[in-house]
Amino acid sequence: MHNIYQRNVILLFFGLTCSWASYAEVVVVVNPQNPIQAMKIDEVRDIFLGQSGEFPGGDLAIPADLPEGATRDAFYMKVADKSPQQMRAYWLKLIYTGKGIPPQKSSDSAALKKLISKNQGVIGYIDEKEVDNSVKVIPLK
Amino acid sequence: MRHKKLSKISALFILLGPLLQLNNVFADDLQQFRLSGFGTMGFVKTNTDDAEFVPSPDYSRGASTSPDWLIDSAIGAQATGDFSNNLSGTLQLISKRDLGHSYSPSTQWAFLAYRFNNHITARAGRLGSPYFMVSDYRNINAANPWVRPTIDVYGQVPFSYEDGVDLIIRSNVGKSRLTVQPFYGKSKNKLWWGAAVTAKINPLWGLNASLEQGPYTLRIGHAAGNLTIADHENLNLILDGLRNDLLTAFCSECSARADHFEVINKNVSFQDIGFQGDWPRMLIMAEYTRRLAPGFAPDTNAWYLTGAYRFGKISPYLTLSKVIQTSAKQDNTVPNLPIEEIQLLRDGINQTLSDVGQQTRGIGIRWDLTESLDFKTQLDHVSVANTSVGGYNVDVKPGFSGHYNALSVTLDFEF
Repeated sequence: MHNIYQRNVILLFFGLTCSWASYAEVVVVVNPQNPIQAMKIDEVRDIFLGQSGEFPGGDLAIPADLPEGATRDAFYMKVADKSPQQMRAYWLKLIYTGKGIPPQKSSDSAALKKLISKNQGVIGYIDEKEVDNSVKVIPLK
Repeated sequence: MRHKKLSKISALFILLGPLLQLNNVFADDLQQFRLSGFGTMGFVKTNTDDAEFVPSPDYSRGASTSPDWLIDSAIGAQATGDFSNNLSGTLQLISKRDLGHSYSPSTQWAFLAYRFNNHITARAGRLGSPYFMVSDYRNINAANPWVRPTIDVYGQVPFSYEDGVDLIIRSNVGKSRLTVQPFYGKSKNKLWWGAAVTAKINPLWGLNASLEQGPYTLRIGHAAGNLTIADHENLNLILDGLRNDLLTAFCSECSARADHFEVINKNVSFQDIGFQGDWPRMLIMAEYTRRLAPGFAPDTNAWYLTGAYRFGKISPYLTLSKVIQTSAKQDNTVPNLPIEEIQLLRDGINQTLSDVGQQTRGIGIRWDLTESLDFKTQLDHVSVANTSVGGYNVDVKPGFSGHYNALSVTLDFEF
């Protein structure tokens, strides 16, 4: 009796954490022809913060952003530990001192996937649920 | 002459714009030319009519109990184009009130940048001067926690750009990123020093280095050059008085004193050490600075400390800042004789040398409304060291208590 109750609680808790995790699970995606297989979080961060223009192998990397929203906020929190307010200030400083240009923004995840499927060097991020065979998911080390 | 040159540069950008846009089609929607803009709408009101608050030393009029809508207001536009993988150009125009109360756009940045590799970029043209931690983007208020950088610290070097060259050298040191930036050029600005004066630094050189790791940034900077302020009529009258033959007859040091006070081609230097801790929930910023200036221009030390806490889109903050004068506040070279001209000369010298110090305690709140719009309101309490000089305030009237409050409201936007 006691055991069954305990197991149910564990299952319920497990279910809740899973649904919470899948709610904001952002994945990094590239063109399926891109030879890259996995990346470190810092490597992804450097590309999206304009500090590196290359994939680890040396190929040209072009980052592409999603519009303002939960997926973008979760992505920058995950790779750069920066809030939307910090990201705004970060880019303003670089743009208006001529030191950098932010990733170009796609209008939504469908447009982003289209951009990636047409350009081998583009790297983006989408909600895990949006993944299809037009893009390749890059596991983060 | 210069305006002609700059309008040629803008024409070039306008002509190249559509060409580069066209290029986009071939590059499958990847952009190579960008136009963007930013601005601030501001409002300042104080509780005194005995002095006027100004945001920087290039304003002759400021805010008092009658509100001022324009001292913090500015609008800017920037064009950036990639001409090749390595060569890019940036042009930034800003329109805000200047000393002559004109709002005609001035060129803040106009440079070509050449990227040699991932580590080294060279730039030439008009460049924002990096004297302070946030000085090269001091006009981009949305990038900063406050309504404006405090005049106590940022007022010490009232030059926002130089015409020259710089190098940006980036490298990784362990887990930190090191950026070193040497620069060389010349700079000029019209300032308010009781009267409009032209201040020039030529040549100007400097070096700064910043080390970033995670949320932390540590930055040190040094700048030096030759300063000239030649057109201040009252100061020139004092210098003429000191060099007058009748005076030098019984004051042998007076003429040498005039040479000392004069600001023509004399060494000026500035050092800054800054720290920033920038977390999703909190921001701490501090700078300590030292200015060594020649002649009548005072030596100063200044610092500020800012702390902000971020409750999501709402960030309350506190700032303390202070500037103190470290050079002599009076001079007794001229003998104290009961002759009116001599007394006037002594008064003039001591008035010019007197304490420019002041301190400010500020409390404010920033609200990020959207990703391109924020609202800030800040209440400052200003206390000046010498009420007859009135610190950085202008139009100081007799009887000024030296203490007042200033309320500022700004809206920063990008477009």
